[in-house]
Order: sequence, then C-alpha cells, then structure tokens
Amino acid sequence: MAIKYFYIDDDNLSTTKETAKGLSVFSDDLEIEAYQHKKWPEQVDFLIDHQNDFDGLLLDWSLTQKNESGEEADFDIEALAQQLRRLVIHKKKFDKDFPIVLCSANYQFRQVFSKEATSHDLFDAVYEKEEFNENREVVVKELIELAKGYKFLNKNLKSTAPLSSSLNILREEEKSMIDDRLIILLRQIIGDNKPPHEVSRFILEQVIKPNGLLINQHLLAARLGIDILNASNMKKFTDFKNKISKTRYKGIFSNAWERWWMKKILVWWKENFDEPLGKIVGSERVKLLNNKFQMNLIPAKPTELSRSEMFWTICSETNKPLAIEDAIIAKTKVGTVDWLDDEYYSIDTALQKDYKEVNLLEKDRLKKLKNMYAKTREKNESK
Amino acid sequence: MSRSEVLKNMRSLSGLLNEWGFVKNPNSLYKISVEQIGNKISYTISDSEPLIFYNIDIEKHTIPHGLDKLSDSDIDIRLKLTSVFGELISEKNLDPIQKLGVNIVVDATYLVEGKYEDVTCCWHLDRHNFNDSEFTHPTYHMTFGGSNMKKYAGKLGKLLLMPAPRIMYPPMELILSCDFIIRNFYSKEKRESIIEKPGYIELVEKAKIKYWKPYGCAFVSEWVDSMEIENLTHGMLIGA
Repeated sequence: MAIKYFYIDDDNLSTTKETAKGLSVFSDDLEIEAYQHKKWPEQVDFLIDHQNDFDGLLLDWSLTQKNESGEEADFDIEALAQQLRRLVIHKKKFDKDFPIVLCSANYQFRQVFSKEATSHDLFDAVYEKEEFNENREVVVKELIELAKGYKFLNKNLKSTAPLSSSLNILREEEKSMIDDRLIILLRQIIGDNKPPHEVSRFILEQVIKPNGLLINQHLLAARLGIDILNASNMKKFTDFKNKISKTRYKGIFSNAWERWWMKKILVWWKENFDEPLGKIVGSERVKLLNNKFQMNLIPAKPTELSRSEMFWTICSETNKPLAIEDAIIAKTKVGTVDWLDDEYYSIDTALQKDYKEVNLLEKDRLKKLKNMYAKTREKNESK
Repeated sequence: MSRSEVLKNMRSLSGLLNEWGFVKNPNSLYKISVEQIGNKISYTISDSEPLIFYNIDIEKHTIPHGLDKLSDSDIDIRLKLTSVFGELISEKNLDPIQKLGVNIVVDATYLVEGKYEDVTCCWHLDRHNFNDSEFTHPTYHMTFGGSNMKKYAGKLGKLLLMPAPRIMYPPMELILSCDFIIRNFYSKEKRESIIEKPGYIELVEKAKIKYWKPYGCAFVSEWVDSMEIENLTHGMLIGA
C-alpha cells in the first residue's frame, strides 16, 4: 500500500493539487493529498479525525493567503506542528506518531528558517518547493522512508525486544564494531520512553546524516581515493559500490540515505589488501582497487592549494577530497556528539570564507593563509 | 593496561589537549579504535588521520636561517604525530610492548620574496624486531629522517641522510609521544599551560611508570647485580 501524506498549503487548491501530483508520480509508493489550511482549531480536529488516512504531513511554511472560504490561517505552522507533537507525546487524541515535513516556495526560506533554531526540532525534513521538481526522486524516496521509519518505530519502540531489533540500526553482530557511546545513548533513549519523533530525529541527525560512524558516498570515495565529482566517473563508482554492499548501512531510513559503516570499510580493506588504507595516498589506494577488481576507477586529485594526497576527509562545500593536514575545521555545530567527524573546508574554500565560519582554533591560521596567499598573488600580478 | 583503561586515558588526553588549544583535532583520539585480541591490545593513529599540532615554536638556530625571525603571518608550520602501538596485558613480561612505531613530522610553508617554500623534518621512534641486522639497533631507538623523507630524495642539497645512528631512546606510547612534542617543540609559556596541570602530570607519570620504569631497570640491571633482569616482572615494577 502506498505511503500517504496530507499536504497543507495556503496556495489555491489547484496549485497545491498540481504540486501534490508532481510528487505522486510513483503513485504505487507515495500518494500526496492536497488540502488548503483551515482555521484553528478545525485544522487540528481535522487531522485528529483523519489520522488513519495519512502516514505523514507536508506543511507549507507560511500561511498568509486566504483559503477558498475566505479564511486566513490564525496560527503559524510551527504552532501547529508543536501542538501535534504535544498531542502525540501526551497520547491525547493521536494513536501514532508521524513525520512532519516543511516546505516553502520562498527563496530566502532556508536562510530565515536556519536562524530559527527553536523550530528545528519540530520538523523531520525541510524542502524548498523547487526541489520537488529538480530533485524529485530524492525527495520522494525520503518522504517514503521517513513514513516507513515512523511506522516501524510506532510499532517497535513499545516492545521489550532487544535494542537492535527495536531500532533496526545495528544487527547483533555489528554491535562490537560500533562506538560504545552510541549504544549507551540509544539504550537511554529507548529506556526513557522517548516518542518516535525524538528517536527518529536522533537517529537521522546524529547518526545517519552527519559523517562519523556512518559515512556518505563522497567521504567513502575520498577515503578510497576515488574521483566521483566528475559525472562520467559515477557509473564506475556505482559498479564498485555493489562490490562493497556488505559494508552498507541497512537499518532504518537506509533506503533514502545511502551510508556505509566506516569500521566495516576498514575491515573489508584489511581482508583484501595488506597495505593499511590509512598508510597510502589516494592514487595508490585506487591502483590497488583497480588491480584487484579489474576496474578503471579514476584517482582523485588534491585541490589546488592542498599539499597532501593522504585523503581522509572532504571539503563540506565542494565535496572535494582532502588530507586532514590540509583541511580547515569549519565552525563546529553546537550539540554535536563525540563520534561525529569534524566538518572541514579546503584551504581553497576557506580563503573565501569569513573568520566566523571557521572553528575558533583555525582563525589565526586562516588569517595567516589569507595573508600569505594575498602576498603571492600580488607578486604574480606584478610580474 | 586493559582496553577500557587505554580508552579512558585517550579520553583524558583528548580533553587536556582540547583545553590547551594547540592541537587541531584532539577529538580524533575519541575515534581511534583500540583493538583487543586475546591479551594483546593495539591501536594506530594512521598517516591519514594524524594528530596535528599547531603553532610550534622555532628556535633561533634553525636552518634555513631566519625562519625564527619571519613574522608569524609569513610562516605556516604544522607537526604531525602518527603512532602504531601494541602491548600485552600480561604482567609477567618485563617489557609489555609488542610493537611500536612513532612518527613526528614537521612541515612548514613560508614566504620568501613572495614565493612559497616547503620544508620538512621527520623523526621516527621504533621498536627493533630482532631479526638479524647488520647494524646496531637498540631495542628502542630514535632516527632522524626515516621513510617520511623518501619523497624528498634528490631535493636535499648537501644534506646526507643516513639511518645511523639509531639513538637509544625510551619507548613512547601516545601520551609520552604527546609529552615529547609538547616539551620539545613549544616554548616555556605555551607548554607550561598544559604540563603543569595536575590531570596532565598524573597521566604522564602513570605512563612513565608503566613504560619507562621497566626500561630504566632493564638498563641498570646490566651493571647492578642485585637487579637480575630474569627476576624482574612488569607487575613487580609497576606495583601491580
């Protein structure tokens, strides 16, 4: 049965329906039903009354226009989300928890929204409406996977099953290779009877999305020395990914967020090669891979201002591979947990950045590098 | 030392380095995987994820001349530490260390007349593995240069780089390696802000008793009859 989202917007119904149709292209998997906003409290009552008809909600960020009955929304979307979450937590009127996703056509939306840190905890995903066209497949996958994840958590969090089966993050045999602190935190979260939206937020924001225990494909490629930024290399990389499928993360939300267990990658490397991965430069890693698997993967090149090819991280803005020694630590997000990797910029990117965008520890170095590169530029220009 | 003790020490060291403020990636110590197979414990700080020290000080007799006089904004200097370490949990052996390889690489980029120059300097501390070798290898020895300099072969001007002499030096695991760097590459003011901290002193002293006391006793036993090496165990020396 298809996953179903209710979509609430203040645009006229035909526009909203059009948007919904666009996202329902894979109608066997995802169906979006469009509605215009109502007034409070009818809006809340409507959702309570129809809770069995949807698996998730897609909400427009700013409700400023009148609906077809000439009513303006007398609430903002954060208040609605907050109220729904509260009713779920207190198990009043809602029998289940569900994803709440935010979208907007306002092009400054991300900028404004990112400053409103307090409302970030309310939404499971945030999209600009443009992404519904440009990035449709990814958005659809994420919406489906979010709803499926919630369904799983609604059912399993209450059970007394062991951690691994109630969260479907790690299999029993994977526990030994995973950071102890993650297991302790997960246990705590389950033990505290947190509602599914808090558990899912933790898993997505602290385990799956950021690089650390799990890594995304850009970091995977960088650590193996492979260039994937050139689109023509992507096909070869996809073939390669199939060869290491046993190192992939296969737990909750994994169909939309493709990740690999870093520890499993290291074990896999050890099984296949004598030379430790961390001891050889990127191009040598690719040489070994190509010889072993008769592939033609293309080695990544360092950025213009990098000194080393001992790639281990990526520039968070360009996804280009970097050696830790060349990388400049980006401003650390408050509240990140121990097992997550720092985010970095290449020197090339950092030179364009303001000091407040890098980690406090890197300010002096960035100042120095800006000064040094400015001087060499002057010298070159005066030639 | 048990696996959890090693992890706990890394955590303390990471916290101290974090607070000190001259290490770029102290949190990477959290992520090192400390493996235990049987009674063997090992960890690696690899070339791809070295511990990086910033703002080291340049002494005035450094060559190329004048590096110490460059304005701070004209030189970028980094020190990388990598380490391979393995030990036995057993207290029967006098020396618990099974494998050891520490690399300290200093890289500097500086401006001369509007152009960059890159210079480097490497030290390597090793545990000799007692295969027949033609030259003297003290069990624990320090070498200038080492494999990290290979990439500069042919670019060393009139400098001759030989593996000899292999200088006798006591073993250093991670904590002692960091202490070595802090004491040798930072001026008084910078280093005092960490080496005088009670937590730091305790961490380093514990490591010295664990790894240097057996080394010292084994050394002295050569001349002091009452300290027959066969009669000593690691457990006895560290008071376990």
